[in-house]
Amino acid sequence: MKKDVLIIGGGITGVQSALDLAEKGYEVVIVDKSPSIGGNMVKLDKTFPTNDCSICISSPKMVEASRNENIDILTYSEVKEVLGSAGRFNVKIWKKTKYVDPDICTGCGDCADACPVQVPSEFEQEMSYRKAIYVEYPQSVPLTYTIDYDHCVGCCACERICDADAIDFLEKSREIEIEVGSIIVATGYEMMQPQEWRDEYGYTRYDNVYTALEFERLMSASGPTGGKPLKRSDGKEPESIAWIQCVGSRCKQKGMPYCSRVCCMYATKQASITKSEMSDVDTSIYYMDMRTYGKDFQQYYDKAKKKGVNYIRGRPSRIYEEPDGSLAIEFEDTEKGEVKTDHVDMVVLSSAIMPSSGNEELSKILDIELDENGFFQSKEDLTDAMDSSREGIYLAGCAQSPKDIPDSVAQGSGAAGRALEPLKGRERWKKKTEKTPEKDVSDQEPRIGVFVCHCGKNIANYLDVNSVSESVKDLPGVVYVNDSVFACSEDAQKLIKEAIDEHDLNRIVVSACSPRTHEQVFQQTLEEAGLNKYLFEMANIRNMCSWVHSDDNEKATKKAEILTKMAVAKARRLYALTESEIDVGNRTLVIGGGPAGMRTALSLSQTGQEVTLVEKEDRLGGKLNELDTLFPSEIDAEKFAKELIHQIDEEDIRVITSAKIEGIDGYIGNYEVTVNEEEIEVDTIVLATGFQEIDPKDFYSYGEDDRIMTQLELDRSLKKDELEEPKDIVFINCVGALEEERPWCCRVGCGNSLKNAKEIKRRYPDANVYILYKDMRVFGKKEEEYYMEVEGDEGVIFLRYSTENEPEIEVGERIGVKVHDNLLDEDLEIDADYLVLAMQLEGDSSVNDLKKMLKVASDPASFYMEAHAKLRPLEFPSEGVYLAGGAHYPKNVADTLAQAEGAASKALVPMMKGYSKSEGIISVVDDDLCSGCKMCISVCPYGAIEHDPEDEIAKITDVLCKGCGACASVCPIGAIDQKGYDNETINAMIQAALMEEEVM
Amino acid sequence: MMKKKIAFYWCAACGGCEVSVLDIDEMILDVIEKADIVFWPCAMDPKYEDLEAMEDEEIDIAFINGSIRSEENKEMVELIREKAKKVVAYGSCSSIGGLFGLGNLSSKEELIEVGYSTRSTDDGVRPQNESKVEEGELELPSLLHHVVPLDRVIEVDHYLPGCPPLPVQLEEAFTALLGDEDVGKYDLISQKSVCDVCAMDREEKRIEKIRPIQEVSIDPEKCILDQGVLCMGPATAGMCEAPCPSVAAHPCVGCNGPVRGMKDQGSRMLSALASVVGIEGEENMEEDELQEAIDSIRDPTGSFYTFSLPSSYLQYRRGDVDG
Amino acid sequence: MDEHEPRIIAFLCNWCSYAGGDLAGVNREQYPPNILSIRLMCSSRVSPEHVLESFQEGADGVLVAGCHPGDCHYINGNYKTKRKIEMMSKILKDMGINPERLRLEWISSAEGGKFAKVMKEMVEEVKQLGPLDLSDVPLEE
Ligand code: FES
Repeated sequence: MKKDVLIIGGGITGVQSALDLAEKGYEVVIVDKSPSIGGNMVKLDKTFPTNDCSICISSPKMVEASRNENIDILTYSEVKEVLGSAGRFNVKIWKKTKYVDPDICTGCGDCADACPVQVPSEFEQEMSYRKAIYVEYPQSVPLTYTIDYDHCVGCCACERICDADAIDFLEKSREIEIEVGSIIVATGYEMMQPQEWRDEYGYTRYDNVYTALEFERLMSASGPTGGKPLKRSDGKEPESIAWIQCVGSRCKQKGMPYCSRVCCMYATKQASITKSEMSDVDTSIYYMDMRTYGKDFQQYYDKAKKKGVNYIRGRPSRIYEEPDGSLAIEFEDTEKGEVKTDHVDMVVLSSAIMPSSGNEELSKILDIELDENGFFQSKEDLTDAMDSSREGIYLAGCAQSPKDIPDSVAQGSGAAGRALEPLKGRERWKKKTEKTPEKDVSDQEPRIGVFVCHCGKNIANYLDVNSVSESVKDLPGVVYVNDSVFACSEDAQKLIKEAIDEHDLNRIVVSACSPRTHEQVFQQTLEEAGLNKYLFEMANIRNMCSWVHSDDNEKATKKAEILTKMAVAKARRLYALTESEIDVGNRTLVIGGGPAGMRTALSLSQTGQEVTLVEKEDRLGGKLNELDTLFPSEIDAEKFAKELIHQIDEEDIRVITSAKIEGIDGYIGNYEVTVNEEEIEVDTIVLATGFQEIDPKDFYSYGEDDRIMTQLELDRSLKKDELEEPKDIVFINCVGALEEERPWCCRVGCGNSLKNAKEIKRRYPDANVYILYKDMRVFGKKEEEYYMEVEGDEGVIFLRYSTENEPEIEVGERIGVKVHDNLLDEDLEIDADYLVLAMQLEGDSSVNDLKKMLKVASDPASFYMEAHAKLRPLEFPSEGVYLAGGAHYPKNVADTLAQAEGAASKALVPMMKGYSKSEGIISVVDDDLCSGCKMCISVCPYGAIEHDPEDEIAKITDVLCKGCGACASVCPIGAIDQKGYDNETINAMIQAALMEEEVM
Repeated sequence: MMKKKIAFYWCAACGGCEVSVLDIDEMILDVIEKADIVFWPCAMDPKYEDLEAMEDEEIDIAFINGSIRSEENKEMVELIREKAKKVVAYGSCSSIGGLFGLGNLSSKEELIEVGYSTRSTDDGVRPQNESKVEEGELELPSLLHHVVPLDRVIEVDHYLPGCPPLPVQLEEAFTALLGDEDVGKYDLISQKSVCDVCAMDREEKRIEKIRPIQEVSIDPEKCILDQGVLCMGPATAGMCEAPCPSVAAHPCVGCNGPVRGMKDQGSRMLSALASVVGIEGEENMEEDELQEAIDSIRDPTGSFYTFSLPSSYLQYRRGDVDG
Repeated sequence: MDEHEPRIIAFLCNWCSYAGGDLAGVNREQYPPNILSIRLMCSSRVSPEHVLESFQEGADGVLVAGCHPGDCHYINGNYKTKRKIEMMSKILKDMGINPERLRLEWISSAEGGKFAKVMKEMVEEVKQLGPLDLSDVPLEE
C-alpha cells in the first residue's frame, strides 16, 4: 500500500496533523494502539480555561477524520518496523484482530449486553467495568466493538446475539505493509503512576487518594459516578478535597526534573468546577508556583480564588489516613513559615505528564533519539522543535514534551507542514471517485421513499416497526415504504438504490438511528443513485425512542410513527442544495516580520506559494533584533534572525519593510490589500504582528533615571555591552501584570529575567542579581531545569512579593528598592545599580486597525481572538485569515515557530486545494424583501453578512457562511432564511408532530 | 364607467382614520368623481335602518376602520358585509387589532373596573346592558371578551393598515380599488420594513442596552435604534415613508403592523432585538450584566405588540398565570 | 379519565444537545416519550415564532436546548438563544401562560444523563401545569 504520511498516535495532535494533510490531498494513515482514536483528550471532562466539554469539542474532529477519504485509521495497531529514508519509508504495521468485522458492526452494543465477562475499564481508570467485548467510550471512533482476547472466555454469547453477523472468531491479526514519504510521531503522554514515584502520598494505599485523571472521570457526566466526585471508600460526597501539585514533576530525585506544564491549570479547573457544583465542599490546592501562564489562564485562576478555592503554597511531605478515614496532609506553608497538618476527605494528585512507555521501543524502530527524560528529542529544542533527529520524521504534541491542548494542536499542524518537505512533487488527490451525475428533480412533485430500520433487535424489540411503516404509507408524497433489519448495511444500500430507480424516488427518509452517526452513509447512497444528498432526512427512532422508552412498546411505537411523519413532512419540502466554491490561488500575505512571520513566510514559500511579507519597521527580525539570547538556550537572537533573513533572501519572497497597511477588503480568494499606497491582491492572510511591552512610564519611576530600564532594554544593552559593571542589580517581574487593570500573565517575562540574570552572572560573576517575582512561571522544555541552574547560583537571590505589597523605589545615588519578601515575611532593602522591569506585554498597536479591516476580534489585551481556544488556535472563525506567534499571545521561540509552521499549514489548506467550499446548509437573503435594517450583520459569528451599500441590503458571502441559522432567526421580516431549515419546514415539522390529538 | 358606491364605517376607533380620509386634500375630488359615498355615519348621520334597507351587495366597497370591541361593532360589520361587495380593513385597528388591542392584556371586567373607577368618575355605578331612564328602557351593547381585528368576525378583501393610513397609501389604495385594478388581499401592505424607507444613518447593531427615549438626546441624523432607543421600524411594514423617525426623530412604534406575509410582528422584533442587545462581550458577560441587558427592554409585550396584539399568535391574555 | 399526557416540542442543536440525546440512548436512560424533538444546527436558529407556532398547534411545553455557554459550535449562537428565550418568557407571562412551559437548557454531548433528567423533569412539570389550551374563546358570552 502506498500512502503519503504515517501518523503514529491518534490523539488530538495526530488527528490534527492528519486532517491538515488530508485536506491538502495527501493520503494519511493514522496508527493507534488503542481500539479507538482520541487519546487522552477524550477522557477529560472539561478543558481549561473555557470549561469546554472535552468530548463535545474533540469528537467532531475524530468523526471528521474518520470520514475523510484521504485518512485511513488503523486502530489496535502498532508500528513494528521502519526501513528506508525520508521520501520513502517502508513501514510494517501489526494490526491486532478485534474479532469483529468493522464493515459490518453497527455499534449497536447488543454484544456487550450479552457478554458475561466484566473487565475494569481502562478508559474509566478502572473505576468501573466494561465487558470483554467493548468500545472504549460511547463516542468511540471507529465505533466498532472489540473483543479483548485476554479476557474473552469464548462463550460466543456475542456471536449468537449479533444480528448483523459481525463477529468472526476466525479473523486473524495481520501485518500491513505501507510505503510513506514522511512520518509524524504523535504518541502523546502517559500519566505518572504516583505509587511508583511518590509513595508517601498513599496512592493505592488509601481509597480516597486519586490521580487527576481519575478525578477527571469522576467529574465527567458520563463517568463512573455520573459526574459527582464520590469517595471510593463509602460512595459518599466528600466535604473537602485537596489537590497536590507537582506530584512527580519538578523533582529530579522523586520523579522528573521538568514542569508538566498543565497541572496548575487542570487542578484549578477541577477545583473551581467542583466548587461551582458543590459549593459546600472545601477545595484547596497545595502548590509551589502557580503556573497559570497561558491566554486567560491567570484570569481563570483569579476567578477560582474568588469562588473560594484555597491556594496553599507548600509541597506536602506525606499523606496518611486517620482512623476516622480522613486523610492527613503534612506540609510546610511556605508563605506563613509554619509546618502544619490539614485534614481532608479526598486527595487528588496532580501527577506528572510522562513520556509514553512505548517511546523507547518506538525510538529504536524509527531510529530517532530520545531526550534524557524519555520524550522524543528535537533536532533543536527551540528552533526546530518539530524535527526529530532524523530527516523525514517529525514530532508533535506531548511526544516531544509536555504541553497543553492548543500548543499540541499547533504543533500538530506545524508537523503536518514540516512533513510536506519529503513529499515535494508528489501527486495529490489520487483518489478520484467517479461521481454519478445528479438528477434534476427541482420541478418534480415529491416522491418520497421511507425506509424503516429494525437495527437488529435494537428497534424492533421495543416497538412495532411494521406499524411505523404502515403509518406513513398513505401520507401525501410517500410512494414507497420498506423496512430492513439493518438499514445501514451494504445490502440495504443496494436496496435503497434500486428503490430509487424503480420507483423514481426523489426524496428519501430513513427512520433508524441518529443522523449524527449515520446520515453520511445514506447521503452517499443517494449520491450514488444520482440524487442530491440534501434530499434526505432521518428520523431517530432508536437513540431517541426505542432505547429510551424500552418499557412501553405501545407508546414507543406511537412516538416512532410521529417522528417518522415529522421527517416525511420535512422531506416533502426538501430541495437540492449545492455547495458553492470559490477559487483560492497561491498568493498570500504575511503581516509582521518577526520570527513568527518569517517562519510562516518561509514555510509557505517552500511549498511554492507566492508570498509577500510586510514589516512595519525598516528591517526584518522583530523582537529578535532586540533580544540578546533566547531563553532557555544560548542561541544568539540576532544571529538566528540573520539566518532566517538569509533564508528569506534565498526564497522568492517579496519583502516590504516600513510597510503601512492602509486598507484590506474582500475575503478568502480575493483580498485587496493596500500597502504603502500600493494595491496587492492575495488569497490568504497570516497575522504575525507580535506583541509589545506596555508603556512603562507609570511604573517604578521609569523615565526618571537611565538606570531604570525594561527587560527588553536590558537585552539591548547586553547585546551592545553598554552596561557598567554592576554590583547589585534588581529585576522586578510582573510589572503591570496580574493586577486588576491587566490581569493576564505575560508568559515570557520570568524566563527572560532568568536568562538575563544568568548572562549578567556570566559577565560579572561578582554581581548580585535580585529577582523580585510573584510566581516563577517557567514551564517549557528545559525551562525548569534552567531555572534550577540559576537558582543554584548564590549570587542570584529570589524574593517573592505580592501584588498587594509592591516594592518601593527611591532614586538616589543608587536605586533604593524596598521589598517585602512574603516567604521570609521580611522587609528587605537593596541598593541597586540598575533596576530592570519585566513589563507586562500586550498585543501590537496595529491590532486595532487591522482587526477592523479584517473583521476579526481581539481581547482586552489586544491579542487576536482565535476561532477556538483549544482546537483552533491558529485560525479565525472564517477561512482565509490565520494567526501565529505573539499576535495570539506572547510565547517563546519554540512555541512561536510551532505556531508559524502551523499557521502556514492552515493557510495552505485552501491554497493547495485551490478552492474554498461553502456548506450546503447556509442562509440566503431574499433581495426583494431585505430592507437593510442591519440587524443581522453583527449576529453572524463569521462576518459572512455584509451590507451592500449600493442595493442597501444584506449580502451573504456563501463561502463564509457556516450555516448556524442565527441570522434567519434574527431577521425581523423573514427576509433571511436557512436552506434546509427554513421557517416553513420547521413549522411543517411542528405541525406534523402535533397533528394527532392522540395521547402518547 | 359606473360610479362606485362606497361606504365608511368606524368601530372602536379614535377617529383618526375618519379624519385621514380628509387628509388627501384635493384628491378627494377624484374620489368623488369616481364614487358616491352612500354611508358614512361620522360625516352624514345615516341611520341603522338606512343601511338595513339597502340591497345586498349594493355597496361596492366598504371601508371599515376601528377594532372590534363590542357587540355593536360586530353586529354592524356583519350587516355591512352583507351589503358590500368588498370590505377593506381600513387602518391598523381593523387590520391587525390596533392600539386598543393592548386591552387584551386585561379581562373585560378589569377594564371596566379600571375605566370607571378613576377618582373623578367613580360613583360606584357601572355600565349596565339594560337600564331604565325616564324616556324608557335603554340597551347598551356589551364589550366582547377581547378585542379582535375585523377579519375575525367577517371576511376581509383588502387590508390597509396604518395609524392612520397616510395620504400616500390612500392615493394608491383609492386609485387601485376605485379604478378596478387587480389588487391582491395583502398588496397594500409593504413587504419591506420601515427601515427601507427611513433616511437615518444605520450601523450594524451592537446595542449595549435599550434606554427610555427621555434619557437620550437623539441625534436626528442617526438610526434611533443605534442610539439605544427601541424603534419598531425593522419589524414594521414600511408603507409610510417613515415620518416618525425622519421628521420627528421619534422611534417607529410599529403602527403599520408586520410586513406582508409575516404573522407575528412582536416576536419577530423580539428575536431581532434580543439577538443584538448585549451582544458586545457576550462571551464574558456575568449573569447580572446579561439580565440587565435583557431587562433594559421594559414591558416587552407592550412595546413589541403595541398595535398588533389581537392578530398575533397569542391574541389575548389567557387568565392568570398558573403556578 | 386518563391523566393528561402532555406533548412537548424540543428544539435541539445538532452539536451538543442532540448528541446528548443520542448518548442518553446509548446509555439506555429511560424517560417519558412525550417529547418530540426537532434537530436544528444551532439553538440560535430557534425563533420565538417557532415556540409560538408549537403552542398554537397544541404543544403543552417547548424545550430549547443548546450547547453550554462557550461551547456553541458556532461560537456564540447560544448567547443569543438565551436572551431570546428569557425575553420570550416575559411575554408568555404577560399573556397568562406559565413561563415554565418554555424551558431553556444547556446539555452537552457528554450529558446523556442530564438529557434524560431534563426530559423527565419537563414532562413532570408540564403535567402539573395541565394542558395548554390556546383555542379561541367565544367573543360573546
Ligand atoms: S451549536 Fe449548540 S448551541 Fe450553537
